[in-house]
Amino acid sequence: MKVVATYNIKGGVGKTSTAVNLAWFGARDGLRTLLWDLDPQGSATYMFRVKPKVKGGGSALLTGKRTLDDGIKGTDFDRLDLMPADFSYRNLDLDLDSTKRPTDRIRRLLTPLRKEYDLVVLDCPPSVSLVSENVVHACDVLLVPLIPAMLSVRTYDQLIDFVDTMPGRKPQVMGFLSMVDSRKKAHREFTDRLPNDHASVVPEAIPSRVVIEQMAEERAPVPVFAPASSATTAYEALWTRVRSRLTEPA
Amino acid sequence: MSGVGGQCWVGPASSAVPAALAALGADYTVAMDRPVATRRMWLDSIDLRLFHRGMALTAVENPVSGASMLELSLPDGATATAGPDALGWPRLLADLPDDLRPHLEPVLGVRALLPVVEASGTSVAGRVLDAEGKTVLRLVHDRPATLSTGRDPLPGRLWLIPLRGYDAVGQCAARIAQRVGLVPDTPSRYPAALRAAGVDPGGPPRAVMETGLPARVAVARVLLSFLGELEAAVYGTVDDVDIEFLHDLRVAVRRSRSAVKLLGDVLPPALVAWAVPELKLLGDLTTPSRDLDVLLQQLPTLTAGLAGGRREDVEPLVLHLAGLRADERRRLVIGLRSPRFERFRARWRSSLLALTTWDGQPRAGTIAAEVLVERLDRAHRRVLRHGSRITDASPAEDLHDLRKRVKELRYLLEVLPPPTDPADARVAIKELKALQDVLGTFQDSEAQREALCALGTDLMSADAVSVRTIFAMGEMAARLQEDQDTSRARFAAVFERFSQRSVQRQTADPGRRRAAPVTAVAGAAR
Repeated sequence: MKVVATYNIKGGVGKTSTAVNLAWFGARDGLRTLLWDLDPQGSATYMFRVKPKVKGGGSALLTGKRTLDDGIKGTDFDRLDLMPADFSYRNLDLDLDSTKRPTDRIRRLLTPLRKEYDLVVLDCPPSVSLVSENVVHACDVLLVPLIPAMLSVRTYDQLIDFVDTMPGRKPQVMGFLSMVDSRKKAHREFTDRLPNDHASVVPEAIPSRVVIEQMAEERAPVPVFAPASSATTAYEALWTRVRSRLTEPA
Repeated sequence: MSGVGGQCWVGPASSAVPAALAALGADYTVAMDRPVATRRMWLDSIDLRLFHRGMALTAVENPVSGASMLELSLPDGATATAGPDALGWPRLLADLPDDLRPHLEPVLGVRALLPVVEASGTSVAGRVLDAEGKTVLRLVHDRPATLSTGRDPLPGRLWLIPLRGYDAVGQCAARIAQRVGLVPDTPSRYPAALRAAGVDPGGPPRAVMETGLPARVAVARVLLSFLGELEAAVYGTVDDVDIEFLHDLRVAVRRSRSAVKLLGDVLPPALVAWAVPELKLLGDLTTPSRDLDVLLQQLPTLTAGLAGGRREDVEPLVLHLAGLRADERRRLVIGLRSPRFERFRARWRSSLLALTTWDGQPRAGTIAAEVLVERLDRAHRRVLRHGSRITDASPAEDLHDLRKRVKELRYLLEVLPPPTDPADARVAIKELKALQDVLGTFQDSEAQREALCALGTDLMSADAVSVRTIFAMGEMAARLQEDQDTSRARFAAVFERFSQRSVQRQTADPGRRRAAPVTAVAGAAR
């Protein structure tokens, strides 16, 4: 089982849409895939038309009263399951803080599912918290959407420094440009320059497209309702890159 | 549809599944896709080995490309798939996709896969949706399908495939299905397809002597049954579907010859005088091909781990054998397509049919039970007599001769009605089989060793092989000699057990006839 997380301190940069579309591509390619919506806003949960409710809430999961297995829901798509969000996840930091080894909890919650799923995608809330620290510890690839702006790059550098100083097992950090508007000169320059300046930023970029915003209306991944769109092509290229990283020898 | 998980439901009438869908639609929002044409072919060996092991292999044709996906369902419910596959059928194991071969090899052995049933129909996928428009249960309606054999249609069925986390909907749908009269069915449609096509998975009934009939009628009926087995094996032998067809044909011939020899005195003498040489001729026609089949099958075992041998050393031998087999097969096919063979079949069938009718009136003469018990007794005593004469110094011919007698006894036992004491019968058959195995290994080893010598002479005289090949063949011949020696050494103990069992049974039940193990089996014949 491989774990991919979409993470950024900032909100509205394309974490959820990336998580949803990559999970869909994983399932399409035959991987038994679980998408865990860790964001109390529950956007990924909404897109799959699942009720944002976990029995007992986040604390029941963390205290072991419930397992992930109890809450997982099948989606409309073969091989793709969802662990829905719950509004109680807003307190996940506090709940984590009250457990032993609070930075390792999510990884341990996933362990019993390792034979059931080939791929787990974690959709993280935008914050720097115990939740994000847990996610960094749990994943093999930390996928960071970057909007083409200087401050975004500065935050990315901070994240890389944080991961470097982390004790123990470290994920591969993979940045990619998101919400790129090719009509804007600054965006074009960022797209050309950033992968050259940062070895961990991949050249595959997600364009800014209406179809991505339409995911919330269609309540489905982009390839389902706009298979021929450039956004679908971009997400597929990104998925191909992520998949090859996941299969690289450690 | 297979390998989808969930539960499959069938109904007594073709309207049952539409009724279930309508009932589901009353309680839920049901969205059905457009029907998709399906063409499905079930593949199995001629003796339905996959079916008997709880497996099913289907070729599902893609309506656009024409290529097929192969889906194998395994006894534990798991599935394996391979494809697209565009090769034709029948096909042997070596020509099957790599993903399927490991599952099929232990079941099929040398048997080929061939189409057993073909069905064409439509399938409709659907979904039960909740208030959010989310799928909470998947459906697949396999509509009734038409079979290529033109018999009854393959009944339709409904798959209810619950989604994880929505078990309550799945349970509710199952209750609705039950309410309209659907019942759970096996995931595989293969048993239903066989039923609809009129294929009896049990195969033709075993030829059994009807012991209450006049002996002539009963023997003729058994011989007619053997003729049916012989004829069933002809097309597969001629087409070289797999080597077991020829084996089955030879067994049917041997059983017929044995029955004519041991029971033929109840038949018209003129018929026996005609049939005996005809059956012998047929047996002789098949022997060279079968010997080569067996040798080719044995080669991998014989060549495995040759001391100084390499795979390529025996390649000239394999090629030579393949050439000889092709020649012999040509002769065999000519023989099986000859007017003489057709005349034999026709006359043998009509003669036997004429003897099988019985008006039910008691007639003078013996009934089958009396003849059978007496012949079994005689055949058993013959085996004991021949076997007891064999010593370490006896020539190989004596063991070959004993093997023939044992086979005759076995064939007689096989036409007995089911025994009254199956456990006792199993012991008797087991000991007889052990004796047959030892004698079989002895004779096969000798025949193959002799064949290797003859082949070596041929290859050397044609200057077609290297010394390495001859050395490898020599090593193989030495192994066969070892096998033969081992069999010979084992013979005394195995025969002792067989004959001891006879004595024990006689002592335990002095009322029994002398052929104690045989009468154990023959109890039902009286």
